[in-house]
Amino acid sequence: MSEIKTDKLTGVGTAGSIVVTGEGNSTTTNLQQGLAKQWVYFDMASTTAVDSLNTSSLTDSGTGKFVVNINNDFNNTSYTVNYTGNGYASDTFPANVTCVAKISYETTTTTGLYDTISYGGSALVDSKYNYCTAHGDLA
Amino acid sequence: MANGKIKADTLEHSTAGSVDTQYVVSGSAKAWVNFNGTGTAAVNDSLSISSLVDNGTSVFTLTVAAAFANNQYSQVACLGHSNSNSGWGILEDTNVARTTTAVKIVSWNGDFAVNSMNWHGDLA
Repeated sequence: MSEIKTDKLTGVGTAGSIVVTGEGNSTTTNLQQGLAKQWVYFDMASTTAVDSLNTSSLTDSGTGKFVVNINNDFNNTSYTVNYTGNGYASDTFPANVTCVAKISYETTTTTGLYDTISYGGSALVDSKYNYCTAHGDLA
Repeated sequence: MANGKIKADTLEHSTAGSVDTQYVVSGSAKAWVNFNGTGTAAVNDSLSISSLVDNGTSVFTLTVAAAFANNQYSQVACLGHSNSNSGWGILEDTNVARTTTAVKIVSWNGDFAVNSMNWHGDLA
């Protein structure tokens, strides 16, 4: 089994572009672009992340709304954010919630933060479980 | 100058741990897209997306440039908007079978300006 020990991988032709051969051995994918650049698991009861990558802080901006602040920013606002959560504030599904949680992020994204919205069926709610992952190009 | 190639089973950082390269290959997103579904649908930025077809209100077909090895890839999606009271979500239209390169989706309750999607799976 071969092993490479290094703190940094850099492309030769283009520093920020390394290709990886895919599972089927016939196509390649771009390593840098395929990596998640930021992720966070948080509980809206606290502004301290449970765990994260490249997340500088969390801001509570109102019931059911949190701002995720990114440490190393993206180079444009066209990055992707995928956000999922449970849409309620505890481990137990409340009887008065009649539809699935609606989770989103606002369109007013910048390169250094995005807003999350948790809607629990009848109102905005501070969700217990919130998971976000962002892909795109770093600055 | 031809670019070099490294073959290895493990990458190790001096302080942050190591990772088997199978996770680098299989764990990387193989495609992602941020697109605007309002008006004439348009891709804002993407990895391995060859086309976006607007099939009418709320219905889109996305095609990846590098085909997957099978139809068992995962797809996650999220709408971005600031209206906290309307329905939202991106659903896969399972009335149309996905292929190794294309998937048809429905953006629930209208066209939205920001749509995020990621794909993971085995490339062909």
